[in-house]
Amino acid sequence: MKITEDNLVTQLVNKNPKAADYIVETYSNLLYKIIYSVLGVYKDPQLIEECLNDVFLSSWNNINKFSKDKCKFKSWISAIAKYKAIDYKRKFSKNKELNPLDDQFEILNYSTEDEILKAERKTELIELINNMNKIDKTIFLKKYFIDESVKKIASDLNLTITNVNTRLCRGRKLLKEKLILLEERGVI
Amino acid sequence: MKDIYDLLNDVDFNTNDYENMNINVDDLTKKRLKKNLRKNIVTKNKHKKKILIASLSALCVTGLLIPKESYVTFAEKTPVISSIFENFRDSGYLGDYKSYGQEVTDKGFSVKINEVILDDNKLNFAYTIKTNKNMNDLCKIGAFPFCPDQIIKINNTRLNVCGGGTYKILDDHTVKCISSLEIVGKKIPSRFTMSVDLKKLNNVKGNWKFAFNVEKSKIEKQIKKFDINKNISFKDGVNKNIKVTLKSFNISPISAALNIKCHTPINVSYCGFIVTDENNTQLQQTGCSVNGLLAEPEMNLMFTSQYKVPKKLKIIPYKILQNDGMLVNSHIKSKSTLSTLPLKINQGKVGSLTVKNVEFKDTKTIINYTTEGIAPLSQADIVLYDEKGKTISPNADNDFNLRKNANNPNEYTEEFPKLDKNKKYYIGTSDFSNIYFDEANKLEVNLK
Repeated sequence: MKITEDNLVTQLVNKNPKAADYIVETYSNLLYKIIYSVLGVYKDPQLIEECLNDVFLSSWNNINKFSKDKCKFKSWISAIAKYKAIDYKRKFSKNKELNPLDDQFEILNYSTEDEILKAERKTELIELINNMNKIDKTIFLKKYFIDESVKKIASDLNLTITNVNTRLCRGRKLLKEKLILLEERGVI
Repeated sequence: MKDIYDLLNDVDFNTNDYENMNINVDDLTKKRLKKNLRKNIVTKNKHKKKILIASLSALCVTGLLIPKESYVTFAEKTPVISSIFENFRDSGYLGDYKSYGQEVTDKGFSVKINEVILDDNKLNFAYTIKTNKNMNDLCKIGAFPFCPDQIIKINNTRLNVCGGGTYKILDDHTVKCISSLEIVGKKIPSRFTMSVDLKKLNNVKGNWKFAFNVEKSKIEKQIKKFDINKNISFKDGVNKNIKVTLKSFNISPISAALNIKCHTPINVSYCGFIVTDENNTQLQQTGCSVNGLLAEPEMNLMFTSQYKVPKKLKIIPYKILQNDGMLVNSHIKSKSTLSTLPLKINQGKVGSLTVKNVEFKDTKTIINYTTEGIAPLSQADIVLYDEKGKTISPNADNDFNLRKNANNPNEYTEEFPKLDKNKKYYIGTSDFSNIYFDEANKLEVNLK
């Protein structure tokens, strides 16, 4: 069976190895560029390739999380590439050792000590972000998970910079309040 | 429960900014990416996964010139040990076999540790998992049947190392696995107590704990260690001076390793080493670990087990030329088609690749070829094109081991889907214009 953009997701779900070849053949250039935009500063092509390997494997292993009703596969795998590249950058950076989720706790002024509690909070944080309204969620993810500038977010979503900043501020406040509430209830 | 991959559906990623960037991934790199991905996914006939189990002090990397096979295969393919399982079962090869033959059942999974074997570089343990669920379905997702959360202890001290593994589905409810841990530099005694706590299976927490005694007295007699203690100095791909001491080479029926002490920081993205024996057969590297926490980092180049102990080694440093952090394109394509045989392709200053014959079979096409030059195994990387320039991927069940004949290690075979012998096909390979082999600074050692 020939793999096309139309049947790609179905074949990935069916674990057809030809679908694996297809995503490499089709998306290598684009994903390499996305990763290079983050990791190119280290001038280490092996690091970029390692990240690229990770992106392909992650998209294969998590294809059941892709929602064709929400976005195109190209957008989803590109977002994974940017997210992974940022994660790699944090790991190899001397100054920052946090992943984007840890950063959310920084942003919300949380300090965590217990690893288990931290993990549970991350799970709750993901749920809370997921329950945000669509536009706020998109802005939040673009800013804090794939590190896009407020200016770019505003341009892509046809909003003003002020509007984006307001939504980010409101989103942070709301998440913090909800996390505190969950703690008080003993959920986390 | 939602995770980050669910959230990323809502990012609405705009790719326009990247479309005009002048970066193109060449076909050899794409082939490498495809093979890396295939090695980690399940196909109908092939069962290999690489799982990073744990790594604290050692950075486990694979160098750019590491050819193909990067995982421990079932020992049926290794002439020296015909089968790990067979040897153990018949001769009681290691330790107290009966005690680690016990079966532990929890949460619907029954696990049995079958065998353990180790040398100075690798510790492999084999186990069997049985369940009422469909094993083919379980193995499709995530790390199963491997256990990235597993805790291994040697004499009650936790072993934090990198690892990988292979598995074979025996029937709908049974899988046999080999977990392979890199233990280079770990001083493991000849006799020890090993405990294995798998922690989770198929993301389900459970109680699968084992403890047993292991001794490596028998294989120790087959481990050969050669002291080298000689220096190499060269420049890497960013023109940095690199100075290393080749400390030792050790080899056993299950692996080989070259231990290197680096007197300067070393970046494996900018340089590396190839190793050939007295017949110019390149040793097949499976990985490279660098212990960067030491003041003078230690590097261990890992190789597959060799069919015989080499008499001489030639170690050639190479530098990987840089292009501002981007891949340097070294890809070339034959001008003639596969209908003109033998088909020789010049690989620059490194050597040449020659396609000797092509077998057009009913269900597959086999391409047989050889290489000559400085790095014969690294040179054996090919891409197949149709007449429209589209790449043709190797067969899904290709085991990535290009060397099929132990007696002729410089002859290679790659299998492709069934092709039409009346059509035109071209071969692509590397001219190594991105690599400089520093033969002036090579080291030749006699192993005795």
